[in-house]
Amino acid sequence: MNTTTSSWKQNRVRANFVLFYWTATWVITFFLADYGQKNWWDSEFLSLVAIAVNALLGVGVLFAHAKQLRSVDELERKVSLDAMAITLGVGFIAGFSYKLLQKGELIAFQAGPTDLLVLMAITLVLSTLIGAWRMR
Amino acid sequence: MKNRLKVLRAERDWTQADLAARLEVSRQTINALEKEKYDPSLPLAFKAARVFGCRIEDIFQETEESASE
Repeated sequence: MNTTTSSWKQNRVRANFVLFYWTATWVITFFLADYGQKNWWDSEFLSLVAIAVNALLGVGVLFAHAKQLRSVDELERKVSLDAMAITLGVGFIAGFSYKLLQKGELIAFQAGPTDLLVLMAITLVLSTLIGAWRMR
Repeated sequence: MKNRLKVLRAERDWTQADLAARLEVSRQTINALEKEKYDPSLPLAFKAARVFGCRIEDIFQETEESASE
């Protein structure tokens, strides 16, 4: 039992580390691509390369996230999936409501894709924390 | 769903962490199961029955509430 248990725990730790590694490299290349094309180079080719590298690392993040989700236990997976469902819903509602408000010229605030991503990231973190707290 | 996990665990003098290690779940999951905030999947229920050496229905009992879900 101890060997199985420790291998389960090891898999879990490894999957968390792999997810952290891919996410960190994705975030770093995102900022490099963003900052680089503004300040470091003036070449469309270099910008495209930086964006392509970032997008490929993004695919790695997807696989690492799926693997991490498989490595956690069923309650943790339920909390994560609930949080993802809430995040998706909030993203849709906020995005389409904003679109309607903008179309009707009822809002002065100019939102971009980054604002939606920040909203979804905050929603994901909060709903995960609330979900975990409810199961205490 | 009601369960006797806490009683069975106490009879064996196991901590929540001991049972979590045997079932390969986190201690928080054992806590949520014992407080009946979460119903386990069928594989986890079978695993619990194997760990305690009894039948699933000796550990988990259906309530009227869970039957109507």
